[in-house]
Amino acid sequence: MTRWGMVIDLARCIGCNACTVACKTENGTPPDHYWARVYTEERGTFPDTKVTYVPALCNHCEDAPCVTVCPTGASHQRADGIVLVDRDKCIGCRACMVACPYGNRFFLRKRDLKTGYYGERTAYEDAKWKWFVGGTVTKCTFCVHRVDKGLEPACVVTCPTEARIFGDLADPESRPSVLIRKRNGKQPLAEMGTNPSVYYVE
Amino acid sequence: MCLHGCGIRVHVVDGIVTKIEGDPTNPDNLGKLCPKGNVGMLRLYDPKRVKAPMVRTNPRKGPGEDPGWKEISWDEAMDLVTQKLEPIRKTDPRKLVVASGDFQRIFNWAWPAAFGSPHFFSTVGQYCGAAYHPINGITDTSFAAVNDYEYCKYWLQVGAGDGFSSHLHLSGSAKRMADARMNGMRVVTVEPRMSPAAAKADEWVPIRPGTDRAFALGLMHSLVFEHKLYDAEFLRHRTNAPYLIGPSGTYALSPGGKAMVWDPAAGRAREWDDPEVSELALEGRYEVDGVECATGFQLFLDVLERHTPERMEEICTVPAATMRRLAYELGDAAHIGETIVIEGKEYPYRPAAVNYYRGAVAHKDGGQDSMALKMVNTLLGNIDVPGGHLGVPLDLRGFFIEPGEHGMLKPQPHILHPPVPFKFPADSLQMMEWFPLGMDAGHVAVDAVLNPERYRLDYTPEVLLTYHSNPVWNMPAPDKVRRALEKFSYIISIDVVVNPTTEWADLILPDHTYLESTLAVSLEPPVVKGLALRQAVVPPLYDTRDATEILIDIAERCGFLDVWNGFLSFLLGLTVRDDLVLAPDRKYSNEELIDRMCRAAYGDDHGLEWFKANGHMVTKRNASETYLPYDGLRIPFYYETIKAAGIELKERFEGTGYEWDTTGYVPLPAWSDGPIHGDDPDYPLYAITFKTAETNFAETMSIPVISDLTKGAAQTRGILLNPATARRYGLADGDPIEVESRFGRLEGSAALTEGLHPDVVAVANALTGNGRKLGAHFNTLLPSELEYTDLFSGALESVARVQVRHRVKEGVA
Amino acid sequence: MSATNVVVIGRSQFTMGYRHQQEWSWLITTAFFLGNVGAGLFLVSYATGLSLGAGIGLLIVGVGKSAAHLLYLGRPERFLRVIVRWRTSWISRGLIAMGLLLVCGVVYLARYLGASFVPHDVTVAFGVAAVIAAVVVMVYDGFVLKASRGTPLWNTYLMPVLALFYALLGGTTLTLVVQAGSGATTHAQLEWLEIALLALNGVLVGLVIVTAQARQAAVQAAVALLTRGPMTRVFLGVAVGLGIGGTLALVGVSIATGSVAALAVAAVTDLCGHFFVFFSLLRVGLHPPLRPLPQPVAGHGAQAGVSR
Ligand code: SF4
Ligand code: SF4
Ligand code: SF4
Repeated sequence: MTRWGMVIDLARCIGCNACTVACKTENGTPPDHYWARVYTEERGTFPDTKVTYVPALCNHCEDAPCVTVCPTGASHQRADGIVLVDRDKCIGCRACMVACPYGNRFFLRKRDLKTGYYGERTAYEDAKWKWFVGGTVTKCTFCVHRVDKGLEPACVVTCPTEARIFGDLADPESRPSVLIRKRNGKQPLAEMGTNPSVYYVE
Repeated sequence: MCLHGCGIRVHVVDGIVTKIEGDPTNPDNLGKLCPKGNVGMLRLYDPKRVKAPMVRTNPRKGPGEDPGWKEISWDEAMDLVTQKLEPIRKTDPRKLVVASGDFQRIFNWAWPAAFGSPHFFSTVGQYCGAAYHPINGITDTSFAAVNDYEYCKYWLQVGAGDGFSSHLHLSGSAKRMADARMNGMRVVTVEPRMSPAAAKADEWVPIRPGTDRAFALGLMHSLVFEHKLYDAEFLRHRTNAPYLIGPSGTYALSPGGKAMVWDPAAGRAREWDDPEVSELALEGRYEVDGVECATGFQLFLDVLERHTPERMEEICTVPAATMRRLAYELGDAAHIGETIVIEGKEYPYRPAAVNYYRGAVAHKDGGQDSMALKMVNTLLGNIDVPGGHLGVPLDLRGFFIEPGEHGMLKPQPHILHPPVPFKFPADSLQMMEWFPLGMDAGHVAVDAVLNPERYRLDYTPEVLLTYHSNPVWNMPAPDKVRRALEKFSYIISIDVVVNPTTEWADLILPDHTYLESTLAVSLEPPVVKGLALRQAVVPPLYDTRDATEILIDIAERCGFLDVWNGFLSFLLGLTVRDDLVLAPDRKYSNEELIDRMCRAAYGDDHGLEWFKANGHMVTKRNASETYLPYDGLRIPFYYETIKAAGIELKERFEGTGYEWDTTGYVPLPAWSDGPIHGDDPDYPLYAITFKTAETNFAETMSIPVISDLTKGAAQTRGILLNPATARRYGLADGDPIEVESRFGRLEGSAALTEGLHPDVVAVANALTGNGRKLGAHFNTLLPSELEYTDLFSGALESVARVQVRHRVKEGVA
Repeated sequence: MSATNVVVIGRSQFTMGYRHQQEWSWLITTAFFLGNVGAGLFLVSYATGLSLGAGIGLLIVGVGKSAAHLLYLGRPERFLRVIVRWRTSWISRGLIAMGLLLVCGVVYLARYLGASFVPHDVTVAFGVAAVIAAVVVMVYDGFVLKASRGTPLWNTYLMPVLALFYALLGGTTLTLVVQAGSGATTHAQLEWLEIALLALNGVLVGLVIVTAQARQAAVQAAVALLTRGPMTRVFLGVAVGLGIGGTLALVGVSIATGSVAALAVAAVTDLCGHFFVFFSLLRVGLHPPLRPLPQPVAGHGAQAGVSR
């Protein structure tokens, strides 16, 4: 069985946020919904400073606390590991947001859909926001609409440095599987027992 | 979204642009796309777009005044334009001033010249490339330059974002850089701030702003005197380093008028191309016909001797030991003497180079900064060879390779427009007549509008036309720009959205956005060549017109269509075929022009239709186009051209009684304190600005996705300060602070980071942007005075000396 | 760890640090609180045979708690969907229990309200069912917190225990108030029970703090916010000091003097403390940074636990 996953190569990422924006325009996410985003991590003191850019997205955890706590079944996991929220079932209780250790879920207020990015809705937002229901929770879909068509997620395709590598973790020869093996891929907050499908290599 | 041309594919669903992706068939960006490219459709759907021509009804202008815009028809609008411009064109065309910022349709920059207006009232390169481009053009006829992503193994990045955050074709460059790094290239980044380039580097070397030249000089001192690592053969045979220089600083000429070299075997000077020269002296002082001469290289050594790493350390704060180590690493990695065979031809192989840009050279002595950094490369013999520092042409026309005098490659400092002959008083507001080698310094134009007597202006500018330009925002000392705007009796703007300058306009003519218009572009491509088509993907949303056609229309109405068509034929490269040259009296549509441009470049079967179907003709440049394309001609090591131009300029001014400082025309760089250096107890800190990948010009900030993002992102969330510095001034993260220079002040909140030199206050250009809320506009800290301008290149000092304080505690709020 | 080196980045999506959970605040605290004290009141009143108290308990749950939930939900009209996932979700379980409590409780009370046609056996059976449901309502929010793996502070069995005993305490307090208010005889044991529960809850809260030292950095960071950070006044001052200390003193006075006024004030301080214990626990729910942060924390992010 396929298990979709991603490796993020921290040595490559330059923190350009192309992924952040590509996700926004691919999925038309409303303001403050950053399904893809990049953290800046700073260590040390001047001049021995180390800055690392850490891209993030939903980890599509195998043991996803967000799914367990959901009382309605709106949050669910597909057989290929992709965790989704059914916008027609979600009641907006936000238990999943609190349960997700990674901050990968976002609450969409009804009023946010009225104003959009410019304070008034544009033709672009009208076209893009058909998918969104106010009062529910949104999250990264691993670009299912693309993946199901055999395409890679938008954040992966756009990344100028190819720091995001997408593929099937169940296949030991897939690009992510090989990278995880060769460069000792680490899951984020592995101690949380969520078994993420996203790995980081340094 | 920026001035370069990454290939994109646009998804249109039910007539709406829903997504923009990189074009995987384009070898330039290889399917990658930066954040700006991804978000282009938001410009198209921006509710602030100008939807039809608009005329001001409120005669009062200024901040807080509602212009009372009224929509009018195109006919009415064009009549108004004609009424204003036709009389000027007929009487004194200098009274029209144009501010142009449309880099993609760069051919339209010549439109004012066709009108007869010599001015440039906008930023071209004062804070970025003014000092960079002329040195590139003089060195190897390139416009820009970047290290060789393919073969470089040791990349010393000084004040540049190439491959990480900005400059040439970011998307593809970032991919090439990442691949190179993963393949073991070592990157060392010299910069005051922990930029992405520094974060990803193997080593970050923090430096005090505006002192990169001192670093370069220290580096060269160590390379030459301590490590003896330099490419003497390259200098001898591919540069003018061995040419003899006379006491005036120019070439010592033979009676036949030729430059000379010293032949040690013969013990005498010979003409450079004398076939009997068996050996060339690189160093030494010689007497030639009773005149004291020295080789260019000797003069360089003389200058360099004074620039010890210890002395340079005091200036730039980089420890002398670090300079020495870096010099060794760089020189060692350059593999001096080795060669490589590529595509069947043998080239020198120098896989180590310095890459530099804006941060290093946008300074009062930017010309020298640029020269010094370029010379590190020349010293290593890596100019335009595999692994080294490669020239990048401006556009499709490529490099302008012609033999010059004395066996040299002909210098091409003027790639944007032909040189403007000296004239006193000058016609142009930016005094272009007095910059024989430099670039248009738009800020000088502002100073001239406000102080006409200072520049001996013999006319008064009347009408301003801004074309995709926002001088209030893009020039230094914005208050002065505003006062200058008051001097114009009429302001016309061609633009897409309303911005702080169009708010001053009397008439706005709305242009299409790039997604609604057609254009073929190729601008500063680092590794590729060829036109890419930018085609209209949706019909215009509003009653807008293509700016190219607006300008043609004005040309016709004001009676200079013939002149403009002549210019266009030249600029679009149509002169290669008589049948493509534009008829003087016919008005061409934008698409017709693009069609001819494509056909001129690639033949009749590659017209606009072909491009619409196939997108682009972009291919990777091959080795012979990339490496030493001028093989056989020498490049300058000793910048004699600059010295000679300075002498000539000085002579021209003699007799005018006018004081114009020509001391910046030097053939070799040296350190001297500029106006921002040294102790300044009142303004102890140095303020710098920087670009991030998600922003280009300030206009990017009018896109809310981008401005939102920058509010949170670490580099752009506030005014950056080192925590130790902040402690010294009693500031904590998030505090409201004020930064003040001698020229202005800005406000913002403090954002502390250990990734910053403690002498520095860093203000991202994202904070400067003209989003809905006015940010901390960095340019308010800058002067536009000549004292802060490099009178050789036109570069402005882009570092300001400042003080910081808490806005509430000190009662400033 | 002191609060001064906890980098709390609030909502920021771009800087690395501890993120505050931002979603559950006043309304969810209110819902949990009303569920706790309502069900607790029902239970204690049931045990003491105080049908008025049991009725008020049902009202608090049925009206108060439900209203808080409905106000909070993004899509209140889909409320009934919550019953779907009882197999995995404690929210589901808790709200099913709430429904059961209301239905069974009403049937149980029907006889006392004059519906004498309800058979005695039915009353007893529904009474027992209601009690079981009430216990679930009293503890489920603790389990909800326990199940939220994203906020390690809550990820301990102390949470359901704390919920249960606070619910009992609140139930006891309110029962005392209803007794006093309705002129029914007061049970001295109830006041002693109150004191015992107060002491026990004090110990439990102490345990949350003390055990944190042995747990993840995110727990320590959260506790630092409670004890040496911006929540300290609310947590130590109101929730612990006033809620437990103050109440203990007032109940003592009440026992010694029989002062109804002291009891009334004690009820206010206790409920207040109860509310703010959970409020502060919710508010300092910190998500750990994506990658472990170095010590000491330097650089960006607001210092001293100031959330942005
Ligand atoms: S697009 Fe790629 S390089 Fe840029 S921030 Fe995202 S992951 Fe990093
Ligand atoms: S990262 Fe968060 S939202 Fe995504 S599956 Fe894991 S717990 Fe759920
Ligand atoms: S996979 Fe798709 S939805 Fe998820 S972060 Fe990337 S672009 Fe966004």
